[in-house]
Amino acid sequence: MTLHIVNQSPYSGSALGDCLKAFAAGDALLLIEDGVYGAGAHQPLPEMNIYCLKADAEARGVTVADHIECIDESRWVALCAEHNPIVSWFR
Amino acid sequence: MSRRKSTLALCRHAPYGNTLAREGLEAVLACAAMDQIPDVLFINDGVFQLLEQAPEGLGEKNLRRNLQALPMFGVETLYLCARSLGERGLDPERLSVPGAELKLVQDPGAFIARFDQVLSF
Repeated sequence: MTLHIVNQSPYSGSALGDCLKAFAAGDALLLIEDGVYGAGAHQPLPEMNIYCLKADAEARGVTVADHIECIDESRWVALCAEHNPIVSWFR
Repeated sequence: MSRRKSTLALCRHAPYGNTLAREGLEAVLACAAMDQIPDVLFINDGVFQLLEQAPEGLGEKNLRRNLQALPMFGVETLYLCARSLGERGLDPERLSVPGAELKLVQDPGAFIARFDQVLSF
């Protein structure tokens, strides 16, 4: 299963939309940096396996939707170990 | 004597993802300290600068403190793009900055056109 990592705001770039078009069943999505603006309830996302870096969401004052799991860096490392390949959507 | 040129600072970026949000506010504070108070319009992802922030986990300084300093430097009206807020699910009624009046801009194109010079951050 693939781990997709998005670091851009869904409102200022196409990274999240591009990622979701390439999202397969069972894949995981991790929102980091400005990508956490996609974790609000305002943004349509898959129901399962969506993660958000807690420090980035707290820094920006983003209220994370209920079905998204907030994680720390060590869990991020674990996700990287559990998934292959890992795709960075940084543009 | 010629009329002083009017300046608008356009704040278009969210805090912390890059340094533009911080640099924009610092430029506004620097202008205001020189007695050339610009108007400030938060548009696109810049409207996220208005949210309460807790960046300690990133080891960053809280950018909203800089924003809250603006009224003390004479920037007492902050303009917000209404469409940008709506697109991001932000309710202007739930945003506030102590000492500042928040005004919604419905037509940013016409608003920007009123100024002599525009700094974009």
